[in-house]
Amino acid sequence: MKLSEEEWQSLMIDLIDGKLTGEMKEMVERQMAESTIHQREYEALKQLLAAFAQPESVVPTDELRANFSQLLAGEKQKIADNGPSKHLSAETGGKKVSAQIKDQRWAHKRSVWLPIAASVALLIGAFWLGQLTLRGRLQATEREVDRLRAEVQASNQMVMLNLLKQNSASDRIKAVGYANEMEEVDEKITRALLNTLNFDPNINVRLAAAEALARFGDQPQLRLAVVASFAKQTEPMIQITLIALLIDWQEKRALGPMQQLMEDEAAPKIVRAKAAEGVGALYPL
Amino acid sequence: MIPTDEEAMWAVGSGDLDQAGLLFDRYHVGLYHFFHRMIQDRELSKDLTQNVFVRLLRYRGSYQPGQPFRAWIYRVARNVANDHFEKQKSSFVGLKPIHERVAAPDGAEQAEQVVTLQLALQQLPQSDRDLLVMSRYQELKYEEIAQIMGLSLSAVKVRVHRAIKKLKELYFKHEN
Repeated sequence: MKLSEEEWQSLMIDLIDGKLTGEMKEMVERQMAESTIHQREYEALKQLLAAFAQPESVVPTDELRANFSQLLAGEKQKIADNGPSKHLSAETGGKKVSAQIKDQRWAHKRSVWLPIAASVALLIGAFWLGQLTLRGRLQATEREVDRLRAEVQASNQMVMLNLLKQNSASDRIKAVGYANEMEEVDEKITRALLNTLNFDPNINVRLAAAEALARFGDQPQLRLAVVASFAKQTEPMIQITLIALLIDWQEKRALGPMQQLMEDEAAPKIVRAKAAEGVGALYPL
Repeated sequence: MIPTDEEAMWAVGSGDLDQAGLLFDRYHVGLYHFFHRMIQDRELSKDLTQNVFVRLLRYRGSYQPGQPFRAWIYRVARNVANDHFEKQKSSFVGLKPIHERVAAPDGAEQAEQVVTLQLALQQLPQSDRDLLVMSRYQELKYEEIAQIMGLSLSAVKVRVHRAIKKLKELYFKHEN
């Protein structure tokens, strides 16, 4: 299995952190046992990461707590000075009688209207708050779902790319299957699929990769790479699958290689017939 | 019932400042270590920790209910550190030379490892150092770091692993 140096190091860190399990863990351990360079690298990483585990020897002094207490007291005082606890002094004694009556009438009106106004305000407030909370929650949930989706996507990609490097053909077919299930696929995956199509030793894996590439017909660069791959293929099954794919994409750049194949007397009859079909379908009228 | 960090901070935001004491109890040592591991200066670490709590009180209204508090407070801490470094750049007041700042703890081999690690860490770019202090020392989850730094989870993982790679080279260079 070929992994880049960075991918190796990443897996080793995960192994040290206890983040690898099951097949992946076994695979990394197995591969590591076979290479002294990797073993040395692993030991070095282990030593480095263990150095982080040394407990911090310094502790904050009491001064920090004392300063905080002072800060807190100051802030509380500020609230006390400006906040709702500010009371107006009661000065009823010097008020004129008429003013007192006015006050009483106002107080009466207030006693009737205030509860109604308060109820209406409460109702509106509750509705508004409900909307706000609901919207907030929905947004938070959406964010969470997006985050989880990205996470699943990233880990699916990693699993897929690692599976593609396995020795067993069925694992590699499984990897190609993963690519079919992914909603969003980036360049890394399409490149891996193209590589598989071109270089995988097993024909079934190559076939699966050819089929998996079918959904990327909207990417001109990738289509061109498939045309180049088609021109080099010698296996009839792959050639036939790719002809169907290129017809489906209406990829005119495939005309040349298809024509060549059509005229290639060494090629099996069925392949030549399919290539002729392709030429007919792609030829500009 | 003992309030969670989030409940306590929400209470602080609503005016119940006494709950800030609880958050101080829970976080001041961790934050102090966070700064100390980053800058290796006790006095400065104390001041910066204090600044975090000044900001916690001053910006208590900006805390949204349900927001993970640990990520929130470490984002504040990171801002405090960044502001400090910015100020330092403009005033040309540098830190003490590194060998004066890195104090060797007791115990020969462990002490050597700690000092080597600190020397290597100090040579990393600040963003890498931040990442390693958060993930390896403070043991913040990649998820939390992603929230603090505004990055995706996979980007955090890649950056942490790359920072470890750089650190490894520096560490063994110092060790030899």
